[in-house]
Amino acid sequence: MQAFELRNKTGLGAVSLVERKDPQPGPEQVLIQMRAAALNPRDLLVLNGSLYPTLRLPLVPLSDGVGHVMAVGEKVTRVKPGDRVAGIFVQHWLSGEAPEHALSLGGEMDGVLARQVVLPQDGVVPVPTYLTDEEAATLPCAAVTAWNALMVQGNLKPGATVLIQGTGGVSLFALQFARMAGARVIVISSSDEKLERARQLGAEQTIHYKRTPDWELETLKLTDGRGVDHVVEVGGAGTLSRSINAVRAGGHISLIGILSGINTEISLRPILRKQIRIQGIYVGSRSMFEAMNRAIELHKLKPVIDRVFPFEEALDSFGYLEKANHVGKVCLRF
Amino acid sequence: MKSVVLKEGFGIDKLTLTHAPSPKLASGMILVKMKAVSLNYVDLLLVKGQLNPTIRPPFIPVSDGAGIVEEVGSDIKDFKPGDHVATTYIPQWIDGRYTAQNSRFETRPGSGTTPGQLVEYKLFRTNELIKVPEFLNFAESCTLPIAALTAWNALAYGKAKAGDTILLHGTGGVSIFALQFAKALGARVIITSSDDNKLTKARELGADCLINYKQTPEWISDVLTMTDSEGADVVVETVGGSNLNKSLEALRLDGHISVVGFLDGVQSPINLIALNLKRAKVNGLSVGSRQDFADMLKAISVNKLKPVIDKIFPLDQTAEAFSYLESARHFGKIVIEF
Repeated sequence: MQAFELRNKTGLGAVSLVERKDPQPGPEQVLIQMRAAALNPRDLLVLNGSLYPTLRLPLVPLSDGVGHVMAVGEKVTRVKPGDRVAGIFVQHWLSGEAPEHALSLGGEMDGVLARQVVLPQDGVVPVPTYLTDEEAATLPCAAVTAWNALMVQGNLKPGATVLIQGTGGVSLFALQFARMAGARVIVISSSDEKLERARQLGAEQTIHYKRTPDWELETLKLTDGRGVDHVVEVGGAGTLSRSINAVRAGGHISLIGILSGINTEISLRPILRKQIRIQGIYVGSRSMFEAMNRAIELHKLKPVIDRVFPFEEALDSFGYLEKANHVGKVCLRF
Repeated sequence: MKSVVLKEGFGIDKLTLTHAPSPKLASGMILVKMKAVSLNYVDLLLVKGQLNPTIRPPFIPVSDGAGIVEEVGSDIKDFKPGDHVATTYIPQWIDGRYTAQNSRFETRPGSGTTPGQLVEYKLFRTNELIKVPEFLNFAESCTLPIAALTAWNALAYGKAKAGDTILLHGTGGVSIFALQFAKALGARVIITSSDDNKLTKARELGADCLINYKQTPEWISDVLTMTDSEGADVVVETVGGSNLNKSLEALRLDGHISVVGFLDGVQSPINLIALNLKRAKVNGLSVGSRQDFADMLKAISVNKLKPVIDKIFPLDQTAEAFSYLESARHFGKIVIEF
């Protein structure tokens, strides 16, 4: 079967299409015929070697994918052949507290950019039937991250105000979940077109952060000077200080992304004075994934897909994601 | 100014429209022209002498009201003339824990010691009022203090979230608010009633699954069917009595029952094995704090929720309004306008 591999070094140029032996499921494993995959900025960081100091090579990239179960080991009870499933991002985080060492798909272990994938039965989740394969493929990392940030750690209440940065995968899921949960959303972006799209998806206010670089002050104005209840922080180093100023006393910042850098100097004073919670979010557990599925099934939520590439053009899709012109998810069809 | 009082003894027929001089503004006080009050079951109990038999007439009943600020004492900063306000039911419970100190019965308007809201002009302290959004009219605002806040906390205590299934019993004020809040937060709603017309109205408000419990005495199995055999995540128990055990049967593991009413009686048998095996939480609740009220108002504003009013009576038909509440024919709230 065909698979993409990061071979003997890191970098997008080191990814190539190879022929691998067809995998066979062990007693508690399932064999999945992959149908679609979705990209995350994290995948680029894995490929260019900046996320993990040491990678076990060769590595099959990508965490997010969906396929049909082709065969199951004799001890498998959770799924049966024909079921459509997604892999969960952190394979052994089933519920409760996060494990100390996360084993994630397309990182510590082989991912889903292969025609066939074998996963433990505990590492897969059935996906809502009304979604297309590409839509369902967007759920494991981006959607679960947004769900964990707002609905689990954020304990989002209707009427709360959420500040969302940008229009990437996590940000748009956060926007959709926040609206689903009766919250008010403010979106910042550097593109009028993207802001328009955010308004179509239910954002009440939008801020163009190139034209309004002090977007945190604008945010305070939009919240009677109090600040927002939650910030979905995907910018990282370049935006965290402003987010700290945009959040209300006792508010919550979900630190998810590091798109603008990893190292930064921030003033601790407002964190203390306002008693802010800054919460690292690293995707979520299987039970979060399942609870999220119940919600999106009930609401028939449609993930926002920017563009779908064929499997063979995986390398082009990475380059496209890197340009960051997308709104929503970049996907692959197998 | 006009007011309605329990003049001599208890009973709906003892509610009497009277005239009295308007109160004079004092420092630390806010003078409100009341525009509307809403009825809760607790008001009916009081009027019938079943809530607090010791009160001395004449007594002004009804806990929940809304109006417009006429004048404020010179030291009042939080309110100004023209503000639209609703009353708060447990005025000294500002935030945090519910304590004997901050929840004293005597502080609750219309409950026996502090007069209620069926009066045209009334003086309030700051913590006895809260500003309400102006997209609501007074009839709508006056429904919020007890019924809406009770429903809000019934879901909040159960940590109801998007995708959860909420089971509601009946179509009274609390149930209908719980339906609206549950839909606003993205949950699925199953509602029971004995009246198909009421169920149809509930569907118009967004209820996902309807159960006529008269036609379907085995409604618990319907709830299980609708929830992949798991049961409801949160039940808002407005019925009490023998219904509590049924709610427990319809609950999922680790689920939450918010007990808010006891129309079917204050004594409930409970199956402790089921309680243990399900690790069920049964949570009594008593309306809510001022902070809860403020949180709820944000949700109402962001989602533009309009309270559901069944019928509005004029002040001189107060007795009719109470009789209508007693008949339990209503869907949503019963309001009296000044």
